[in-house]
Amino acid sequence: MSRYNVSNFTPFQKLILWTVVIVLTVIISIQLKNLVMPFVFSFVLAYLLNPMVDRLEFVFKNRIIAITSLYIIFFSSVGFAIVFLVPVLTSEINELSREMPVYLEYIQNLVVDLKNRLQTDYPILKQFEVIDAVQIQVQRLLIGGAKALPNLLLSVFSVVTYLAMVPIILFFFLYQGHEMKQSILKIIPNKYFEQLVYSLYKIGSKLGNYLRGILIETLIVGILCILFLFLFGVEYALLLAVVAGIVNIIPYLGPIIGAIPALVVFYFQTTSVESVFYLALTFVVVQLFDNMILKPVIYSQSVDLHPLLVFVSLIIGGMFAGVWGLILAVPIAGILSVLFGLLYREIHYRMTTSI
Amino acid sequence: MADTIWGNIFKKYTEKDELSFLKTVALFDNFSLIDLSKIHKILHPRKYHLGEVIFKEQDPGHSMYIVKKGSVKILCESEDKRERELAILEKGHFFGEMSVVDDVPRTATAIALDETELYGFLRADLLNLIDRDPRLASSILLKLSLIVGTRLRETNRRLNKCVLKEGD
Repeated sequence: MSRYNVSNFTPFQKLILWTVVIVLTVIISIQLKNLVMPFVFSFVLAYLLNPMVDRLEFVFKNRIIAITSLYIIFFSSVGFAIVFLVPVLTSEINELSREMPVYLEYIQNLVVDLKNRLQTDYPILKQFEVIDAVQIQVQRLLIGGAKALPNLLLSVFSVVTYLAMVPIILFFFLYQGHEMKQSILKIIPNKYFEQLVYSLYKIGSKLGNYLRGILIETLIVGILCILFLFLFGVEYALLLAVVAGIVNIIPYLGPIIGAIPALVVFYFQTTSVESVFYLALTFVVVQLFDNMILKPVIYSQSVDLHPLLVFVSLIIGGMFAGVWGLILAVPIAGILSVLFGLLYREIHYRMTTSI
Repeated sequence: MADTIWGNIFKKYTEKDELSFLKTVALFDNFSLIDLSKIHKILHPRKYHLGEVIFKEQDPGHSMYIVKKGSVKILCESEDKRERELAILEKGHFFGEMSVVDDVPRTATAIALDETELYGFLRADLLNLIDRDPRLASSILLKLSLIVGTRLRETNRRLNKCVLKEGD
Protein backbone atom coordinates (compact mmCIF):
# COMPACT_ATOMS: atom_id res chain seq x y z
CA MET A 1 0.00 0.00 0.00
CA SER A 2 2.75 2.42 0.99
CA ARG A 3 4.36 1.87 -2.43
CA TYR A 4 1.62 4.06 -3.92
CA ASN A 5 1.79 6.80 -1.30
CA VAL A 6 2.10 10.16 -3.10
CA SER A 7 4.42 11.51 -0.42
CA ASN A 8 6.99 8.84 -1.43
CA PHE A 9 7.11 10.11 -5.05
CA THR A 10 10.20 11.88 -6.32
CA PRO A 11 9.77 15.58 -7.21
CA PHE A 12 9.79 14.66 -10.90
CA GLN A 13 7.03 12.05 -10.43
CA LYS A 14 5.03 14.58 -8.40
CA LEU A 15 5.48 17.17 -11.15
CA ILE A 16 4.21 14.71 -13.79
CA LEU A 17 1.27 13.70 -11.56
CA TRP A 18 0.24 17.29 -10.93
CA THR A 19 0.65 18.24 -14.60
CA VAL A 20 -1.62 15.33 -15.60
CA VAL A 21 -4.18 16.25 -12.93
CA ILE A 22 -4.21 19.93 -13.96
CA VAL A 23 -4.42 19.17 -17.70
CA LEU A 24 -7.25 16.66 -17.13
CA THR A 25 -9.11 19.15 -14.91
CA VAL A 26 -8.80 21.87 -17.56
CA ILE A 27 -9.95 19.52 -20.36
CA ILE A 28 -12.93 18.25 -18.33
CA SER A 29 -13.83 21.82 -17.31
CA ILE A 30 -13.82 22.94 -20.94
CA GLN A 31 -15.94 19.94 -21.95
CA LEU A 32 -18.42 20.56 -19.15
CA LYS A 33 -18.34 24.33 -19.52
CA ASN A 34 -22.06 24.75 -18.90
CA LEU A 35 -21.87 22.83 -15.66
CA VAL A 36 -18.62 24.39 -14.48
CA MET A 37 -19.61 28.01 -15.17
CA PRO A 38 -22.26 28.23 -12.40
CA PHE A 39 -19.64 26.87 -9.99
CA VAL A 40 -17.09 29.45 -11.12
CA PHE A 41 -19.69 32.21 -10.91
CA SER A 42 -20.78 31.05 -7.43
CA PHE A 43 -17.16 30.89 -6.34
CA VAL A 44 -16.54 34.49 -7.41
CA LEU A 45 -19.77 35.62 -5.72
CA ALA A 46 -18.88 33.71 -2.54
CA TYR A 47 -15.45 35.33 -2.61
CA LEU A 48 -16.99 38.78 -2.84
CA LEU A 49 -19.79 38.21 -0.33
CA ASN A 50 -17.78 36.29 2.26
CA PRO A 51 -16.56 39.34 4.24
CA MET A 52 -20.13 40.60 4.41
CA VAL A 53 -21.37 37.19 5.67
CA ASP A 54 -18.55 37.18 8.24
CA ARG A 55 -19.65 40.58 9.54
CA LEU A 56 -23.31 39.56 9.61
CA GLU A 57 -22.32 36.35 11.42
CA PHE A 58 -20.61 38.52 14.03
CA VAL A 59 -23.90 40.40 14.50
CA PHE A 60 -26.33 37.43 14.37
CA LYS A 61 -23.93 34.91 15.99
CA ASN A 62 -25.14 32.33 13.46
CA ARG A 63 -23.81 31.79 9.96
CA ILE A 64 -27.02 30.34 8.49
CA ILE A 65 -29.07 33.35 9.66
CA ALA A 66 -26.30 35.63 8.30
CA ILE A 67 -26.39 33.96 4.88
CA THR A 68 -30.20 33.93 4.80
CA SER A 69 -30.43 37.65 5.60
CA LEU A 70 -27.83 38.40 2.94
CA TYR A 71 -29.81 36.25 0.48
CA ILE A 72 -32.94 38.25 1.23
CA ILE A 73 -31.15 41.56 0.55
CA PHE A 74 -29.12 40.31 -2.43
CA PHE A 75 -31.80 38.34 -4.27
CA SER A 76 -34.53 40.89 -3.67
CA SER A 77 -32.32 43.47 -5.40
CA VAL A 78 -31.62 40.98 -8.22
CA GLY A 79 -35.36 40.28 -8.36
CA PHE A 80 -36.04 44.02 -8.50
CA ALA A 81 -33.53 44.31 -11.35
CA ILE A 82 -35.17 41.46 -13.27
CA VAL A 83 -38.73 42.69 -12.80
CA PHE A 84 -38.12 46.40 -13.42
CA LEU A 85 -34.85 46.95 -15.21
CA VAL A 86 -34.44 43.98 -17.57
CA PRO A 87 -37.67 44.61 -19.57
CA VAL A 88 -36.72 48.28 -20.05
CA LEU A 89 -33.19 47.31 -21.04
CA THR A 90 -34.27 44.62 -23.52
CA SER A 91 -36.75 46.98 -25.19
CA GLU A 92 -34.01 49.66 -25.36
CA ILE A 93 -31.54 47.14 -26.86
CA ASN A 94 -34.12 46.05 -29.47
CA GLU A 95 -34.98 49.63 -30.36
CA LEU A 96 -31.32 50.60 -30.61
CA SER A 97 -30.56 47.56 -32.81
CA ARG A 98 -33.37 48.71 -35.14
CA GLU A 99 -32.03 52.25 -35.23
CA MET A 100 -28.39 51.16 -35.49
CA PRO A 101 -28.21 51.06 -39.33
CA VAL A 102 -29.44 54.67 -39.47
CA TYR A 103 -26.76 55.80 -37.02
CA LEU A 104 -24.05 53.82 -38.82
CA GLU A 105 -25.06 55.21 -42.19
CA TYR A 106 -24.96 58.75 -40.83
CA ILE A 107 -21.49 58.27 -39.36
CA GLN A 108 -20.31 56.65 -42.60
CA ASN A 109 -21.61 59.60 -44.56
CA LEU A 110 -19.79 61.90 -42.20
CA VAL A 111 -16.56 59.97 -42.81
CA VAL A 112 -17.09 60.05 -46.61
CA ASP A 113 -17.77 63.79 -46.43
CA LEU A 114 -14.65 64.34 -44.42
CA LYS A 115 -12.68 62.20 -46.85
CA ASN A 116 -13.84 64.18 -49.88
CA ARG A 117 -13.15 67.48 -48.17
CA LEU A 118 -9.65 66.38 -47.14
CA GLN A 119 -8.89 65.01 -50.59
CA THR A 120 -9.84 68.26 -52.29
CA ASP A 121 -7.82 70.28 -49.75
CA TYR A 122 -4.79 67.95 -49.71
CA PRO A 123 -4.62 66.08 -53.06
CA ILE A 124 -1.41 64.37 -52.02
CA LEU A 125 -3.43 62.20 -49.57
CA LYS A 126 -5.29 60.63 -52.50
CA GLN A 127 -2.05 59.40 -53.97
CA PHE A 128 -1.17 57.36 -50.90
CA GLU A 129 -4.74 56.10 -50.35
CA VAL A 130 -4.38 57.05 -46.71
CA ILE A 131 -7.95 58.18 -46.38
CA ASP A 132 -9.38 55.02 -47.94
CA ALA A 133 -7.44 52.95 -45.44
CA VAL A 134 -8.69 55.13 -42.59
CA GLN A 135 -12.26 54.90 -43.91
CA ILE A 136 -12.12 51.10 -44.10
CA GLN A 137 -10.73 50.93 -40.57
CA VAL A 138 -13.41 53.27 -39.21
CA GLN A 139 -16.11 51.23 -40.95
CA ARG A 140 -14.74 47.99 -39.55
CA LEU A 141 -14.50 49.49 -36.08
CA LEU A 142 -18.06 50.82 -36.19
CA ILE A 143 -19.59 47.59 -37.44
CA GLY A 144 -17.49 45.53 -35.05
CA GLY A 145 -18.45 47.77 -32.13
CA ALA A 146 -22.13 47.77 -33.06
CA LYS A 147 -22.14 43.98 -33.31
CA ALA A 148 -20.18 43.52 -30.07
CA LEU A 149 -22.43 45.76 -27.96
CA PRO A 150 -25.55 43.52 -27.78
CA ASN A 151 -23.30 40.46 -27.36
CA LEU A 152 -21.45 42.06 -24.49
CA LEU A 153 -24.71 42.91 -22.77
CA LEU A 154 -26.22 39.50 -23.51
CA SER A 155 -23.19 37.71 -22.11
CA VAL A 156 -23.51 39.82 -18.97
CA PHE A 157 -27.18 39.06 -18.64
CA SER A 158 -26.91 35.35 -19.51
CA VAL A 159 -25.87 35.16 -15.87
CA VAL A 160 -29.59 35.45 -15.15
CA THR A 161 -30.05 31.92 -16.51
CA TYR A 162 -27.85 30.61 -13.72
CA LEU A 163 -30.18 32.00 -11.10
CA ALA A 164 -31.65 28.57 -10.43
CA MET A 165 -28.32 26.85 -9.74
CA VAL A 166 -26.21 29.64 -8.30
CA PRO A 167 -28.09 30.27 -5.01
CA ILE A 168 -27.74 26.61 -3.98
CA ILE A 169 -24.05 26.31 -4.86
CA LEU A 170 -23.36 29.75 -3.39
CA PHE A 171 -25.01 28.74 -0.11
CA PHE A 172 -22.61 25.83 0.33
CA PHE A 173 -19.62 27.94 -0.65
CA LEU A 174 -20.58 30.58 1.90
CA TYR A 175 -21.54 28.13 4.63
CA GLN A 176 -18.73 25.61 4.27
CA GLY A 177 -16.22 27.57 2.19
CA HIS A 178 -13.82 27.81 5.08
CA GLU A 179 -13.87 24.04 5.71
CA MET A 180 -13.43 23.47 1.95
CA LYS A 181 -10.39 25.75 1.95
CA GLN A 182 -8.95 23.99 5.01
CA SER A 183 -9.45 20.57 3.34
CA ILE A 184 -7.68 21.75 0.18
CA LEU A 185 -4.83 23.18 2.28
CA LYS A 186 -4.43 19.79 4.00
CA ILE A 187 -3.04 18.26 0.81
CA ILE A 188 -0.40 20.99 0.43
CA PRO A 189 3.02 19.73 1.60
CA ASN A 190 4.18 21.13 4.97
CA LYS A 191 7.10 22.86 3.30
CA TYR A 192 4.96 25.13 1.12
CA PHE A 193 1.79 25.44 3.19
CA GLU A 194 2.74 28.51 5.23
CA GLN A 195 4.02 30.46 2.23
CA LEU A 196 0.98 29.47 0.15
CA VAL A 197 -1.55 30.63 2.76
CA TYR A 198 0.37 33.89 3.12
CA SER A 199 0.44 34.44 -0.66
CA LEU A 200 -3.28 33.61 -0.95
CA TYR A 201 -4.02 36.09 1.84
CA LYS A 202 -1.94 38.81 0.15
CA ILE A 203 -3.59 38.22 -3.24
CA GLY A 204 -7.02 37.87 -1.64
CA SER A 205 -6.82 41.08 0.33
CA LYS A 206 -5.69 43.09 -2.69
CA LEU A 207 -7.93 41.45 -5.27
CA GLY A 208 -10.97 41.18 -3.01
CA ASN A 209 -10.83 44.87 -2.18
CA TYR A 210 -10.31 45.67 -5.85
CA LEU A 211 -13.27 43.56 -7.03
CA ARG A 212 -15.58 44.87 -4.31
CA GLY A 213 -14.32 48.37 -5.17
CA ILE A 214 -15.17 47.83 -8.83
CA LEU A 215 -18.71 46.73 -7.93
CA ILE A 216 -19.31 49.79 -5.76
CA GLU A 217 -17.71 52.17 -8.28
CA THR A 218 -19.65 50.71 -11.23
CA LEU A 219 -22.87 51.01 -9.26
CA ILE A 220 -22.28 54.64 -8.23
CA VAL A 221 -21.05 55.77 -11.68
CA GLY A 222 -23.95 53.88 -13.33
CA ILE A 223 -26.53 55.52 -11.05
CA LEU A 224 -25.01 58.99 -11.63
CA CYS A 225 -25.09 58.39 -15.40
CA ILE A 226 -28.73 57.23 -15.28
CA LEU A 227 -29.61 60.34 -13.28
CA PHE A 228 -27.89 62.76 -15.64
CA LEU A 229 -28.99 61.01 -18.85
CA PHE A 230 -32.60 61.13 -17.61
CA LEU A 231 -32.20 64.80 -16.69
CA PHE A 232 -30.92 65.56 -20.19
CA GLY A 233 -33.75 63.44 -21.60
CA VAL A 234 -31.41 61.21 -23.60
CA GLU A 235 -33.09 58.25 -25.32
CA TYR A 236 -32.09 54.74 -24.16
CA ALA A 237 -30.83 56.39 -20.95
CA LEU A 238 -30.84 53.15 -18.94
CA LEU A 239 -28.98 51.12 -21.56
CA LEU A 240 -26.40 53.85 -22.14
CA ALA A 241 -25.86 54.28 -18.39
CA VAL A 242 -25.39 50.52 -17.94
CA VAL A 243 -22.84 50.49 -20.78
CA ALA A 244 -21.05 53.54 -19.30
CA GLY A 245 -21.03 51.91 -15.84
CA ILE A 246 -19.62 48.60 -17.12
CA VAL A 247 -16.93 50.02 -19.40
CA ASN A 248 -15.96 52.43 -16.62
CA ILE A 249 -14.11 49.41 -15.15
CA ILE A 250 -11.52 49.83 -17.92
CA PRO A 251 -9.03 52.39 -16.61
CA TYR A 252 -8.37 55.54 -18.66
CA LEU A 253 -10.17 54.38 -21.85
CA GLY A 254 -13.42 53.19 -20.24
CA PRO A 255 -14.95 56.58 -19.47
CA ILE A 256 -14.33 57.73 -23.06
CA ILE A 257 -15.74 54.52 -24.58
CA GLY A 258 -18.72 54.83 -22.23
CA ALA A 259 -19.47 58.45 -23.08
CA ILE A 260 -19.26 58.18 -26.89
CA PRO A 261 -22.49 56.15 -27.47
CA ALA A 262 -24.46 58.51 -25.23
CA LEU A 263 -23.04 61.59 -27.00
CA VAL A 264 -23.75 60.12 -30.47
CA VAL A 265 -27.32 59.17 -29.54
CA PHE A 266 -27.89 62.61 -27.99
CA TYR A 267 -26.52 64.33 -31.10
CA PHE A 268 -28.95 62.43 -33.33
CA GLN A 269 -31.75 63.23 -30.97
CA THR A 270 -31.11 66.98 -30.73
CA THR A 271 -28.77 67.69 -33.70
CA SER A 272 -27.31 70.44 -31.53
CA VAL A 273 -23.59 70.52 -30.82
CA GLU A 274 -24.19 72.80 -27.84
CA SER A 275 -26.34 70.28 -25.95
CA VAL A 276 -23.86 67.50 -26.76
CA PHE A 277 -21.15 69.73 -25.31
CA TYR A 278 -23.11 70.12 -22.05
CA LEU A 279 -23.66 66.36 -21.87
CA ALA A 280 -19.93 65.78 -22.47
CA LEU A 281 -19.22 68.28 -19.70
CA THR A 282 -21.52 66.31 -17.39
CA PHE A 283 -19.58 63.12 -18.19
CA VAL A 284 -16.38 64.99 -17.35
CA VAL A 285 -17.88 66.05 -14.00
CA VAL A 286 -18.92 62.44 -13.26
CA GLN A 287 -15.37 61.32 -14.10
CA LEU A 288 -13.84 64.01 -11.90
CA PHE A 289 -16.08 62.89 -9.05
CA ASP A 290 -15.09 59.26 -9.73
CA ASN A 291 -11.37 59.98 -9.91
CA MET A 292 -11.06 62.53 -7.14
CA ILE A 293 -13.51 61.21 -4.56
CA LEU A 294 -14.61 57.62 -5.29
CA LYS A 295 -11.36 56.01 -6.43
CA PRO A 296 -9.10 57.30 -3.64
CA VAL A 297 -11.60 56.08 -1.03
CA ILE A 298 -12.44 52.74 -2.68
CA TYR A 299 -9.01 51.66 -3.90
CA SER A 300 -6.91 52.98 -1.04
CA GLN A 301 -5.99 49.45 0.05
CA SER A 302 -6.20 47.50 -3.18
CA VAL A 303 -4.15 47.02 -6.33
CA ASP A 304 -1.53 49.76 -6.46
CA LEU A 305 -0.02 49.47 -9.91
CA HIS A 306 2.06 52.05 -11.72
CA PRO A 307 -0.10 53.86 -14.32
CA LEU A 308 2.31 52.76 -17.07
CA LEU A 309 1.91 49.13 -16.00
CA VAL A 310 -1.87 49.56 -16.05
CA PHE A 311 -1.62 50.96 -19.56
CA VAL A 312 0.60 48.13 -20.84
CA SER A 313 -1.64 45.48 -19.26
CA LEU A 314 -4.66 47.12 -20.89
CA ILE A 315 -3.01 46.98 -24.32
CA ILE A 316 -2.03 43.32 -23.86
CA GLY A 317 -5.49 42.43 -22.48
CA GLY A 318 -7.21 44.22 -25.35
CA MET A 319 -4.98 42.51 -27.92
CA PHE A 320 -5.62 39.01 -26.65
CA ALA A 321 -9.17 39.04 -25.34
CA GLY A 322 -10.97 42.16 -26.63
CA VAL A 323 -13.41 43.91 -24.31
CA TRP A 324 -13.20 41.21 -21.61
CA GLY A 325 -9.42 41.45 -21.84
CA LEU A 326 -9.64 45.18 -21.09
CA ILE A 327 -11.96 44.55 -18.14
CA LEU A 328 -9.87 41.72 -16.67
CA ALA A 329 -6.44 43.22 -17.43
CA VAL A 330 -6.02 45.15 -14.17
CA PRO A 331 -7.12 42.40 -11.73
CA ILE A 332 -4.83 39.91 -13.50
CA ALA A 333 -1.95 42.40 -13.50
CA GLY A 334 -2.67 42.90 -9.77
CA ILE A 335 -2.35 39.14 -9.07
CA LEU A 336 0.87 38.97 -11.08
CA SER A 337 2.29 42.00 -9.27
CA VAL A 338 1.60 40.42 -5.84
CA LEU A 339 3.13 37.11 -6.99
CA PHE A 340 6.23 38.81 -8.39
CA GLY A 341 6.51 40.84 -5.19
CA LEU A 342 6.49 37.65 -3.11
CA LEU A 343 8.91 35.93 -5.50
CA TYR A 344 11.25 38.92 -5.37
CA ARG A 345 11.14 38.90 -1.57
CA GLU A 346 11.89 35.16 -1.55
CA ILE A 347 14.83 35.50 -3.99
CA HIS A 348 16.16 38.55 -2.16
CA TYR A 349 15.95 36.68 1.15
CA ARG A 350 17.66 33.55 -0.29
CA MET A 351 20.43 35.66 -1.76
CA THR A 352 21.07 37.67 1.40
CA THR A 353 21.02 34.62 3.69
CA SER A 354 23.33 32.57 1.43
CA ILE A 355 26.05 35.20 1.67
CA MET B 1 -15.35 10.54 0.36
CA ALA B 2 -16.33 7.88 2.93
CA ASP B 3 -13.82 9.50 5.22
CA THR B 4 -15.59 12.85 4.88
CA ILE B 5 -19.00 11.31 5.65
CA TRP B 6 -17.72 9.54 8.78
CA GLY B 7 -15.73 12.63 9.58
CA ASN B 8 -18.93 14.68 9.56
CA ILE B 9 -20.85 12.20 11.71
CA PHE B 10 -18.15 12.09 14.38
CA LYS B 11 -17.18 15.75 13.93
CA LYS B 12 -19.04 16.93 17.04
CA TYR B 13 -17.36 14.36 19.28
CA THR B 14 -13.84 14.96 17.98
CA GLU B 15 -14.36 18.72 18.05
CA LYS B 16 -15.32 18.52 21.73
CA ASP B 17 -12.08 16.66 22.48
CA GLU B 18 -10.08 19.15 20.49
CA LEU B 19 -11.70 22.10 22.24
CA SER B 20 -10.88 20.65 25.65
CA PHE B 21 -7.31 20.21 24.40
CA LEU B 22 -7.16 23.86 23.28
CA LYS B 23 -8.34 24.87 26.77
CA THR B 24 -5.11 23.33 28.14
CA VAL B 25 -2.94 25.54 25.89
CA ALA B 26 -1.64 28.56 27.85
CA LEU B 27 -2.55 30.92 25.00
CA PHE B 28 -6.24 29.97 25.08
CA ASP B 29 -6.81 28.92 28.69
CA ASN B 30 -9.24 31.71 29.61
CA PHE B 31 -11.40 31.55 26.48
CA SER B 32 -15.02 30.33 26.46
CA LEU B 33 -16.00 27.20 24.52
CA ILE B 34 -17.76 29.35 21.89
CA ASP B 35 -14.56 31.35 21.34
CA LEU B 36 -12.46 28.17 21.32
CA SER B 37 -14.74 26.71 18.67
CA LYS B 38 -14.16 29.84 16.53
CA ILE B 39 -10.40 29.58 17.10
CA HIS B 40 -10.48 25.86 16.30
CA LYS B 41 -12.04 26.69 12.93
CA ILE B 42 -9.08 28.83 11.87
CA LEU B 43 -6.35 26.46 13.05
CA HIS B 44 -4.63 24.25 10.47
CA PRO B 45 -3.95 20.68 11.60
CA ARG B 46 -0.61 19.49 10.15
CA LYS B 47 1.21 16.17 10.46
CA TYR B 48 5.01 15.85 10.56
CA HIS B 49 7.19 12.76 10.33
CA LEU B 50 10.02 11.96 12.72
CA GLY B 51 12.94 14.25 11.94
CA GLU B 52 10.96 16.50 9.57
CA VAL B 53 11.95 20.16 9.69
CA ILE B 54 8.96 22.34 10.60
CA PHE B 55 10.86 25.54 9.88
CA LYS B 56 14.48 26.60 9.71
CA GLU B 57 16.25 29.51 11.35
CA GLN B 58 16.12 32.58 9.04
CA ASP B 59 13.13 31.17 7.12
CA PRO B 60 10.38 33.75 6.52
CA GLY B 61 7.82 33.09 9.24
CA HIS B 62 4.08 33.57 8.94
CA SER B 63 2.69 31.38 11.72
CA MET B 64 2.95 29.84 15.16
CA TYR B 65 2.41 26.18 15.99
CA ILE B 66 0.74 24.37 18.88
CA VAL B 67 1.90 20.82 19.65
CA LYS B 68 -1.14 18.54 19.61
CA LYS B 69 0.68 15.20 19.64
CA GLY B 70 4.34 14.17 19.73
CA SER B 71 7.23 16.48 20.51
CA VAL B 72 9.30 19.18 18.84
CA LYS B 73 12.94 20.17 19.29
CA ILE B 74 13.90 23.85 19.04
CA LEU B 75 17.46 24.46 17.88
CA CYS B 76 19.60 27.50 17.43
CA GLU B 77 22.83 27.84 15.47
CA SER B 78 25.61 29.47 17.49
CA GLU B 79 28.26 31.79 16.03
CA ASP B 80 30.70 28.87 15.58
CA LYS B 81 28.04 27.14 13.41
CA ARG B 82 27.25 24.56 16.09
CA GLU B 83 23.67 23.59 16.81
CA ARG B 84 22.44 24.28 20.31
CA GLU B 85 19.25 22.76 21.66
CA LEU B 86 17.03 25.41 23.21
CA ALA B 87 13.99 23.39 24.26
CA ILE B 88 11.93 20.27 23.77
CA LEU B 89 8.25 21.07 23.44
CA GLU B 90 5.44 18.63 24.10
CA LYS B 91 1.66 18.41 23.94
CA GLY B 92 0.04 21.76 24.75
CA HIS B 93 3.19 23.85 24.18
CA PHE B 94 3.45 26.37 21.38
CA PHE B 95 6.29 28.00 19.45
CA GLY B 96 6.99 30.57 16.72
CA GLU B 97 4.47 32.98 18.26
CA MET B 98 6.47 36.10 17.29
CA SER B 99 5.80 35.35 13.61
CA VAL B 100 2.08 35.82 14.19
CA VAL B 101 2.75 39.44 15.09
CA ASP B 102 5.74 40.56 13.01
CA ASP B 103 7.30 39.79 9.66
CA VAL B 104 10.90 39.02 10.69
CA PRO B 105 12.65 35.71 9.82
CA ARG B 106 12.56 32.75 12.23
CA THR B 107 15.08 32.99 15.07
CA ALA B 108 15.36 29.21 15.62
CA THR B 109 14.88 25.88 13.87
CA ALA B 110 12.04 23.48 14.80
CA ILE B 111 12.26 19.73 14.13
CA ALA B 112 9.67 17.02 14.84
CA LEU B 113 11.02 14.44 17.30
CA ASP B 114 8.21 11.90 16.76
CA GLU B 115 5.30 11.41 14.44
CA THR B 116 3.99 14.82 15.44
CA GLU B 117 0.67 16.61 14.99
CA LEU B 118 0.61 20.38 15.20
CA TYR B 119 -1.94 23.13 14.88
CA GLY B 120 -0.74 25.95 12.66
CA PHE B 121 -2.06 29.41 13.61
CA LEU B 122 -1.29 31.80 10.77
CA ARG B 123 -0.88 35.55 10.79
CA ALA B 124 -3.13 35.70 7.70
CA ASP B 125 -5.95 34.08 9.70
CA LEU B 126 -5.39 36.40 12.66
CA LEU B 127 -5.53 39.43 10.33
CA ASN B 128 -8.77 38.09 8.86
CA LEU B 129 -10.09 37.56 12.37
CA ILE B 130 -9.30 41.20 13.26
CA ASP B 131 -11.69 42.23 10.46
CA ARG B 132 -14.29 39.60 11.23
CA ASP B 133 -14.36 39.32 15.00
CA PRO B 134 -12.31 42.17 16.51
CA ARG B 135 -13.27 41.25 20.10
CA LEU B 136 -11.90 37.71 19.84
CA ALA B 137 -8.85 38.82 17.83
CA SER B 138 -7.92 41.46 20.40
CA SER B 139 -8.37 38.95 23.24
CA ILE B 140 -5.91 36.61 21.48
CA LEU B 141 -3.47 39.46 20.84
CA LEU B 142 -3.72 40.60 24.47
CA LYS B 143 -3.05 37.08 25.74
CA LEU B 144 -0.18 36.72 23.28
CA SER B 145 1.42 39.97 24.44
CA LEU B 146 0.98 38.91 28.09
CA ILE B 147 2.87 35.69 27.37
CA VAL B 148 5.59 37.44 25.37
CA GLY B 149 5.85 40.06 28.14
CA THR B 150 6.24 37.37 30.82
CA ARG B 151 8.95 35.68 28.75
CA LEU B 152 10.74 38.99 28.22
CA ARG B 153 10.68 39.65 31.96
CA GLU B 154 12.07 36.18 32.61
CA THR B 155 14.82 36.77 30.00
CA ASN B 156 15.68 40.10 31.64
CA ARG B 157 15.85 38.41 35.04
CA ARG B 158 18.22 35.71 33.69
CA LEU B 159 20.32 38.31 31.87
CA ASN B 160 20.64 40.39 35.04
CA LYS B 161 21.70 37.28 36.93
CA CYS B 162 24.39 36.55 34.31
CA VAL B 163 25.65 40.15 34.36
CA LEU B 164 25.79 40.12 38.16
CA LYS B 165 27.67 36.79 38.10
CA GLU B 166 30.20 38.19 35.61
CA GLY B 167 30.58 41.28 37.81
CA ASP B 168 31.46 39.07 40.76
